[in-house]
Amino acid sequence: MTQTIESTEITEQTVLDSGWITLVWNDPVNLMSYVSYIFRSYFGFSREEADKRMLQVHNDGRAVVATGPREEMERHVEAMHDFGLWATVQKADA
Amino acid sequence: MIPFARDLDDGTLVASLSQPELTLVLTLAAQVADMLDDLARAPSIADPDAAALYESVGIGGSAAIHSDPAIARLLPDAYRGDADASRDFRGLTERSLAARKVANARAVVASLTLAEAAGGELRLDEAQVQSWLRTLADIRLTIAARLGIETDDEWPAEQESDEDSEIHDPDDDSLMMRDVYDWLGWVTETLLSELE
Repeated sequence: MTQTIESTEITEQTVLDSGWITLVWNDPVNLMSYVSYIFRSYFGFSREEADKRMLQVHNDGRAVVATGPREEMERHVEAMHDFGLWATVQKADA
Repeated sequence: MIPFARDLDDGTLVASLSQPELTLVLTLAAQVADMLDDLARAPSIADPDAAALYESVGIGGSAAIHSDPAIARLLPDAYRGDADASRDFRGLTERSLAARKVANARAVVASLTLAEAAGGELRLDEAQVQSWLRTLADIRLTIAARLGIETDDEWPAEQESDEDSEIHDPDDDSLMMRDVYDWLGWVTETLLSELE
């Protein structure tokens, strides 16, 4: 009984906590090759995946590059700002 | 400039810059460091105990995004449309982020000072390459902010007509900065091409 309740709580907490995303926004300055390099070197994306998200940023104005707990998304945003990319955190359903 | 190439003996990236090129990048990197230096420092607190406590916690930061568009772009809001969350994030990260940008820019200055003494040969290890990539981006973002570039095609040369040319064309400086900006982009490309 106790175990079931704990397990339910953990699941709910995980779901609530995972509902955040890291967005990278288009800017006219950073080179496409630099953005792709950052996505590969920081997030560990394959070249294909990195180029896909980089083109999404370029063409759609933004792309989701990570999903997870809020604290983790804030760490990603700080790392993107470190590279000079424009990134923000928001709730996944916002 | 002779573009970056990898030294197969020790893995460093080596390029050769002319004296004007060295001076240019050195000056721009130093300007970025100076611009962010105040934000990277803890405010002066008279009470030594309070100052020590403040320093140990390592937090601080502006209440809102900076009014200087270049600083605002280098230290942007982390939340769109949520001033409270952006302020909280800024309080926890702004100082350390500014300090890292200053340290990267100073690492670029240091490597160029060594290059000047070595007849223009610039040699970068892995950590220095990371400082260079970030500082080149910060310099280009700063130039773009100073020139008011906000979209992909919005450059002064493309907007202005030269109907009323005067003795000193006010766009001369902007055009020169655009050349510098494009050249710094090319330097970034040559660095990246050696990292693939």
